Amino acid sequence: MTRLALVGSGPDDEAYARIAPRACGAPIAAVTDGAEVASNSAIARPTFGELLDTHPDAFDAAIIQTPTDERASHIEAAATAGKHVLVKGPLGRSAGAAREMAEACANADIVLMSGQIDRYRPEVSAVRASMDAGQMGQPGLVRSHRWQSPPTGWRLDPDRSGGIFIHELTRDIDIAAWLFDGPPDTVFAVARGSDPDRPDAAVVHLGFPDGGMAVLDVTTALPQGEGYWSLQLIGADGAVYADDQHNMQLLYAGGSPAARLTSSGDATVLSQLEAFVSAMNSGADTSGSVAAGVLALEVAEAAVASAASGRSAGRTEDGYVLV
Amino acid sequence: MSLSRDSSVFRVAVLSVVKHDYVPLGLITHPRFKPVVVADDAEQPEWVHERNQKLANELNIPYVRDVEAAIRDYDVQVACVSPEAERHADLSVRAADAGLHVVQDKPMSTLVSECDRIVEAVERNGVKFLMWNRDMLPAMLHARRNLQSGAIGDVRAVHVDFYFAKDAGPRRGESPAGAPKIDWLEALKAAHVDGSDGGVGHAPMGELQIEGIYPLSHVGLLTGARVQRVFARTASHFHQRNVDHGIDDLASVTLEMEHGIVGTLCIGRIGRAKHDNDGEIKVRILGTAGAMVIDEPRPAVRVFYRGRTAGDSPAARVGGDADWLLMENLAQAIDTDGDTILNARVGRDIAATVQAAIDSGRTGRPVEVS
Repeated sequence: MTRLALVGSGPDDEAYARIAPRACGAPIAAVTDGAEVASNSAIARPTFGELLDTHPDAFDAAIIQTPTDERASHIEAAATAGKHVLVKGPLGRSAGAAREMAEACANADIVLMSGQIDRYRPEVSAVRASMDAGQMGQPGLVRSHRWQSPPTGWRLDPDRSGGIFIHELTRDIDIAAWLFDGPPDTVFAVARGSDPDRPDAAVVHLGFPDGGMAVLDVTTALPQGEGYWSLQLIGADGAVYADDQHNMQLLYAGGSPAARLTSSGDATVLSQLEAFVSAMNSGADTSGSVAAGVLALEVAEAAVASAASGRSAGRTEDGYVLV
Repeated sequence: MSLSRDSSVFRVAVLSVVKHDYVPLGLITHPRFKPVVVADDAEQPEWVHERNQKLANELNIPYVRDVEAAIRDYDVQVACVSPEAERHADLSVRAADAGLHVVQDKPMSTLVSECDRIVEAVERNGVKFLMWNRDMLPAMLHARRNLQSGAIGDVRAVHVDFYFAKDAGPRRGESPAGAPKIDWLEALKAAHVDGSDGGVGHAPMGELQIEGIYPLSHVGLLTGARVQRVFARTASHFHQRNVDHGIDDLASVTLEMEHGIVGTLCIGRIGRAKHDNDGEIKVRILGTAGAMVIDEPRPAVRVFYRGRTAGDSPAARVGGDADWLLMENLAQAIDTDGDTILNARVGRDIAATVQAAIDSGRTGRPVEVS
């Protein structure tokens, strides 16, 4: 049994609450003041610091989804208290902060996992499985689109969230680097938005060794409602196309029919949580997950620099440098 | 020599038809365009003459081994130009100089400077020029109708996938060690049997050059904006002949356009095994008030049957009238002294965008479009 604390709020709160008994053998044990789910715990909704002070034995692990600029302190606090940590979204506001957190967790000998929620999508799992089965051959191109409505709350504030490159595109960068099994050697990016300080659309164009390439497109400017997602991988021997358009069902209720996405239920969150619990129980090395999280931040920071300068960035021993 | 009377039938000279015959065959779907002669230069090699003769026989019209004589003797008003890519500009310029309106196959040319020559000749002679394109396909008309109705507001970004699921000879690495380079022209001549010879000619061309005009024309038409700067990655990822000649069969391009519009293009000749249709061809459009995801090969029916071979695409495009609409577009441009949907100047700009992308792919840096 693993008792989880949900620290901060996120779009998957309800799913975590549904899945926790199945994946962890226990309901969510504690929630902090940001979380938006009911908890069976009698504990009121304290801050994370208060929770650690007053009920340090009430939970074994924390899902951290607090504002990005607060994560460093929350992860370090969890590590100090010996709590395992799953971080939803970017590991931190910067690659440097993420490295420091990773070191703190390693010293405390606790499991730190980068959430990498998209890796657990059933469609992405199928893409990766086809690669691992040798059906794709050497990857040549990864292409993804992720369109969604504007964020709310702290996620809207680039000083807190890191903006579209840190808060959003680290997800897509992680998938690309994961599918290419390594870091990009070239980064180019453009960003657009009515407020130059808060772009709501961006493209990150990556080059990988041996001619590999990725084009990652994210916008947070869709009208309120469901978003759109697609991922393609074109390999030397095969190709995979995962696309919401393929999974639409038609609804006729007068006028033009509506297209409704077929839900895959809680499969994504379940897979993620099972992986986290498995790592905790087995003591598996999660340093790869953390390194990938740090890499995604490094690339996102290079993308920020590229978009600001109009230049591309190349990977060197000292990190990404504008060329 | 040019006629632009309403209700007139335009007599057409087909000036070389060494690759696909889809342009002249598309042209004759419109009753106002009547091929009356196939012509080419006498000094062309015999395989060229054979292909020209074949179309002449199919259309039951003469084949003349003298372009200027054919233009002079057959009272033509329109030229349909479809030779090897490096001869496109020469024949189009000669046709324009003879006062003919021109329908030309892609690519516009292998050189931007040659495209400039076409623009100059077309504008100096006051004739109409139509680059063959896919902008009249039903899905693209659907996209434009929705844009024009304001369904998604103003365009902010356009993203196009343009993959042809076709093979191109030996896969990368399949050639034995020490094997000589694959002869480009001979390979493309041999590819004529299955219609995958879009790059036929002496100068090797990558997919960006061969097919880039199709998706980039979509981008231009949907946005109404010119491309100002590009960043691209290019690779010879699939086919040995592309490796041998150092040209792309897979490319991705980021487009920075006027009015702050962003575009991306992913393009490749990815191989038959990579798709159950002719290839994933998709246009995604982001607007200020919504977005669209468009499958270009729709409408279509899926056909399966016992004995179907791997090379038979199960999806067949149906409906639409793209060829007729293109030719109607040219007829209207001639009748009204208007413009075509893809004129010489726009075609030239697309060629310049392609060249900038190739240059960016080589340098790893963004490149301004000239």
